[in-house]
Amino acid sequence: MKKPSDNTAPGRSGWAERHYLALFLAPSLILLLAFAGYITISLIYLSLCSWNVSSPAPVFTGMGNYVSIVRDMSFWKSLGRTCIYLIATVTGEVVTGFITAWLFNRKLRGIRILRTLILIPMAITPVVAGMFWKVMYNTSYGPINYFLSLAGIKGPAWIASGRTAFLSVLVVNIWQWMPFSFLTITAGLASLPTDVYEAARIDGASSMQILFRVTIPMLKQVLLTLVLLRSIEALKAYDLVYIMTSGGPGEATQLLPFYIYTKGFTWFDFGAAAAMSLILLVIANNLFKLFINKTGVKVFYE
Amino acid sequence: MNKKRWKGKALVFLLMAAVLALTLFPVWWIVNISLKTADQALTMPPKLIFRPTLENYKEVLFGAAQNASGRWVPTTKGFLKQAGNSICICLTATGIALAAGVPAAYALSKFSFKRKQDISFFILSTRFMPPIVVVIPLFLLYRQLGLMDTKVGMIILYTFISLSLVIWMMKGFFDEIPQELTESARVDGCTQLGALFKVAIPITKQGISATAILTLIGIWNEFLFAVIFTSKNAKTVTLSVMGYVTIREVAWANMAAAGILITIPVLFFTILTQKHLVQGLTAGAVKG
Repeated sequence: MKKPSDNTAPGRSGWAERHYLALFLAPSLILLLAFAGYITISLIYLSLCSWNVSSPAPVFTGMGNYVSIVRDMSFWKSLGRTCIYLIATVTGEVVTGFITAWLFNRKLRGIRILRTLILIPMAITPVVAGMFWKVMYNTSYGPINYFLSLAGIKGPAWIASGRTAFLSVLVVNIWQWMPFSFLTITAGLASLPTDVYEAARIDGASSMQILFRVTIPMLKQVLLTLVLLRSIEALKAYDLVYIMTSGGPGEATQLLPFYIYTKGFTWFDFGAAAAMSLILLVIANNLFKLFINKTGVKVFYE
Repeated sequence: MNKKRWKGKALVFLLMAAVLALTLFPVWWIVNISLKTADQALTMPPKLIFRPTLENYKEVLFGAAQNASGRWVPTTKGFLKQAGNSICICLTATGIALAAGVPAAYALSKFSFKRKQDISFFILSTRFMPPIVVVIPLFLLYRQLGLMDTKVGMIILYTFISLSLVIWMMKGFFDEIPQELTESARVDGCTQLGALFKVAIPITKQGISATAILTLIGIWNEFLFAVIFTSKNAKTVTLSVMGYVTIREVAWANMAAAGILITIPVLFFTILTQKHLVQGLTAGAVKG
C-alpha cells in the first residue's frame, strides 16, 4: 500500500513532526485571532470616539455614543424588530421545512426529482431573490395582486406599506430558507432506525403519536443544530432589507444590521455605528453561547 | 377505513403539489420575464404564451449598444468583468481558507490537547459575528492600507469569514473517519502530516468538495461587503443586478436575466452536492 520510504518516516523526529499540532492549528488560529482581535479592539476604541461629519477623524469622547444610543428609540425598535424577525423566521423555516420533509419522505416514483426541485430557492443568490420578490409584490405588475384581483380582492401594497412590509420580507426569507430546513430534516429522517417505528405501530400508536413521541424526540439534535445555524444567519439579515425596502417604509423593516449600516454609511456617524456594532456582537456571542450551553446541542465541539 | 386512507393520500398529494407550487412559482415567473421582450415583460394580464427571446441575456452579457426599437437600454457592460472578479475572488479565498482550515479541523477532530474547548468555541464564535460588525473597523483599515476596491482586499476579507465555516464543516467530516484508521497509518510509520494528507484527506474527498462548494457559494452570494468595499475595479457579480435600477426606469427583463445568470452556477453546484451539503454542519446531530 505504502511506498517503502514512508515506513522509514524520516520526518519522525523532525521539527514538523514534533510540533504537528502547532503546524495544523497555527495558520487558522493566527488568522482568526488577528482578525477577531483587531475587530474587537477597534470597535471598543471607535465606540468611545466621536467620528462623524463634524469630526472627520476619530476623537476620543468617552461614553457619549452609548448615552445617545440608549436614548435612541430607533435603536431599541430595530433591536426589538431583529428579535421578532429572528424568532419568526427560524420558527417559520423549521416548521415549514419539517412539514415539507414529512410530506416528501415517502417512496414514490420521481420523488428524488421533486426533492431536488424544492431546493431551488436556496440556490438563488439572496439579493437576486429579493429582486425577484420585488416583482412578485409589485402593485401594478406583480402577479400576487393580479391573481388576488381576479378573485375580486384588492391586495395590499406589500413591501410599500408599513403594515405589511415586515411580514412580506419575512415571507421571502422563509421561502428562501425553508429548503435548507427541508434538506437537513430529510437527512435526519433518513438516519432514524426503522424498527422503532415498527415497534410503535405494533403497539398501536397513531401517526400523530408517532410524530410527537418518536420522530421529533429522536430528531432533537438535528432540530437544535438547525435552529442554531438558522439563528446565526437570521441575526446577520441584511441583503433582503437592503434590496427590497431599504429599511422602510418609515422604519418598518429596519433590522439592527441595516440600522448600523445606515448610521455609518448614510449619516456618516461611525462612532455610533461602532458602538451599536459592539452591542450586536456581544448580543450575538452571548445568545448563541447560552443556546449551546442550555440546549446541549452537540455542535462542533463534543 | 379504505376510503379514509384514500382521502388521506389525496390530501398528502394535494399538499405536496401546493408546496411545490409555492416554492417554484416565483422562479417560473422570473424565468418567464427574462425570456420576454421588455415591452411584454410586465404587461398585465400576463402573456402566458409568447415567443421566448434571449435578447435580455445577450444585453446583460455583452452590453446593449444597439438601441434598435428606440427603447432606452441600460448599458452595464460590466457583467462579464464582474463575473470574472467574482470567480477570481471566490477561488482564491476558498483555496486559502481550505489550506488553513483543513489541517486545523483535522487537529480539532483527532487530537486532544490543552484548552481544546476554548479554541473550538473561539473558532465557532467567529461564525456568530454578524458581518455588519466588522464593516466599520475594516473600512477604517482598508482606507488606510489602500485596500478599498481591490481584489486583494476582498480576498482577505472573504478568507476570514470563510475560515470558521471550513473548519466547522471539515471537523464534521473528519469526525466520521474512525480514529483507528489514522492511528494505524501512524503505526505503519506515517508522519502526522502523512496521516493527514495520505489517509484522512483522500478518504473525505467528498467532504472537502462539499465544503469547498459551500464556501464558494457563500462568497459568490455575499452582498454587504461587496456593496461597501467595492465600487469599480473589484465589483462582484451580485452587484450587477443593481445596475438595472436607474432613476429613469428599472429594466426588469434585463435584471431577471442577470439574476438567473448569477444563480445558474450556484444551482448547478447545489444540486451536485446536495447530499453532503448539510452533512458536515450537522455531523454531531445526524449519525449514519
